[in-house]
Amino acid sequence: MTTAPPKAPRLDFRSRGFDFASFAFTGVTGLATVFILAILAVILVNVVWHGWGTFSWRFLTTGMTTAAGGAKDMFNAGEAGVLPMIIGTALRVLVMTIVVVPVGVITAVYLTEYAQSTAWSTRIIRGAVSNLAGVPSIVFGLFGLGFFISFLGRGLDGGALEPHWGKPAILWASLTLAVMTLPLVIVATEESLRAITPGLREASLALGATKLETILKIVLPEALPGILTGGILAVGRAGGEVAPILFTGAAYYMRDLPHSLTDQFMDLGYHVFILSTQSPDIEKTRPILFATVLALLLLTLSLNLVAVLVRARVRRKMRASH
Amino acid sequence: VADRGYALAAGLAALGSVVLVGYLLWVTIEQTGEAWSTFGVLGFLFGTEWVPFPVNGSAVYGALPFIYGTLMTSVLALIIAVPAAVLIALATTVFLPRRLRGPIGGFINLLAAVPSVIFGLWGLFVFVPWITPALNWLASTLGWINIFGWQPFAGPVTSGSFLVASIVLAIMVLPIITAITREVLLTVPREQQEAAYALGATRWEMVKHSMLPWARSGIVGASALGLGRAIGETMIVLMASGNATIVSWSLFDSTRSITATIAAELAEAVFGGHHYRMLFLIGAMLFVVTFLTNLAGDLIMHRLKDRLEGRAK
Repeated sequence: MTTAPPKAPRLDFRSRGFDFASFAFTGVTGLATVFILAILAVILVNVVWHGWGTFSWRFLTTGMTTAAGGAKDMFNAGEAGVLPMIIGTALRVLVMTIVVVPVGVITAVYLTEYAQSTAWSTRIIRGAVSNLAGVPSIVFGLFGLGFFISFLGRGLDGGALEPHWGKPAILWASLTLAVMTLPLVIVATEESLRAITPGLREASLALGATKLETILKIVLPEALPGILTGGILAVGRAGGEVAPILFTGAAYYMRDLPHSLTDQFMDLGYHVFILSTQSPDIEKTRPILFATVLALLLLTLSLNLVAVLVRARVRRKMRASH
Repeated sequence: VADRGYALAAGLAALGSVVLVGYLLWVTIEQTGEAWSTFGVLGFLFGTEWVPFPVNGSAVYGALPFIYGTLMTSVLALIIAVPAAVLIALATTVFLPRRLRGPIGGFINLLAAVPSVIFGLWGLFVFVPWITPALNWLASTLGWINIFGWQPFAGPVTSGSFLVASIVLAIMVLPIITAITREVLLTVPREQQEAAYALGATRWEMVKHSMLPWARSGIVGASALGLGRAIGETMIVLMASGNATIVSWSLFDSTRSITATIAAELAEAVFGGHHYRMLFLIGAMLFVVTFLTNLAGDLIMHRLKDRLEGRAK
């Protein structure tokens, strides 16, 4: 819906005198808006209020092993830290990014630079991408289990008794998330590719560059902010998702940090779920629960904020170039 | 040569996403194995009992409690979210001062960025204790209502329920529906609005006669996309619905959705066993249902876009 018709000069009409229906509607719509903003504020304030007391440097940098080498009680606010979850979440998101960004960018380049936008094949590809975006995240979890773990993983193991590949792991969780976030990267990249003026491409071609050279040296560097936006949005979305990693890699409890990509991992979002539903003594757990939520919120909101700022810059540039 | 090679590779990558969607469905269906024929389609769709670990006798898999739970919570969530979303979209396009519109839109998008597990937790720890007294009061005053045997407000009130899950779901889908509705409202041609003003319409009359009719199909499309989101949401329903595996007709009673069932039971299911295959089967069902609602939403939005581009030419 970005192709708005050319704007007429803005005239702001105001109703003359008092008109009850308009007055009432301003009130009702305003109230609805205030109400939803209040809910957002209540959620945020609540999390900060309950989590702030426990949220500290120590909390962020302590693991699950005690100094003596024993295991800590993950439900006890006095002992537990979230270092393993932060590392787990960061790792799975990092591996996902390494996979999803190149694939997404190549697809977007094909769709905008090579494919004819009216061809039936292009329509099918676009339809598939937008449908991929609507698939429930738990179905991606099932797909990860069915395809990556039981088909690919067990295939790689070749029937070995002790599975090395065919079990939940960081690698499989990341690949599942990459499939899930692919549409985000494609759409954001396409948008920024379309924002580049045709003149720039034509100038490069006129100087004798081939199409590939034009794309690699002129178009892609120009589109970098948009690609970044897509990547950041994907990271923000994947960072908070729990459903796709439930069966593909997240662990309930691990004493040690993961050593390789075929290890399971502890995860911030999944940990929030576990703390809130499995704790034997919720009063003892509540402080770390909300501190963990605070960590998760800070992570996803700051990533989204960066994406919004970068995207706003891209849009401004787009408007300036047309 | 390198150029053509690259075009081919890029085309293959793009085609990959099509294959991916088809393959996604194929894997989930393939994993269901012979579960279909063992239990029968009707027995599966309309069976009211889901007992994967029976004390004695054999396991029973009837998905009706989850189908009902999913549909009821999602539809209820939309009933709450759509009117609110339209009001907010109107507020941020017409009624509120221009200076406030952008920041408010930004804050509502912030709500869309909150991970759903946090909404679930909020529902469980903050919303439930807060609303339970009100629900108890409602159950004791309205519990007698009986519509042909359906008692929507009968007690007892459980800690997670249809209503609680629906309200939290509504908060989650609200930003998406608001954002799309807002974009549609912004495409209403300037001349059409000015024409209404020129004929002496007040602000509300302009909205009623020249904005809402234009945006109607867009609002329907936005609602369909929101419905797809609500049906597919896992963590909120898992945490805020109470997780009962029976069909219950009261809005204050606990329930469970398709997504929550998969999330809660797949880890316990024996790999490749009946239970495992039945969970993949309800997953495939979920895929098909959300595919259809999203397709409907997309088609409506595309028609709208075509109409708009046709005008602009």
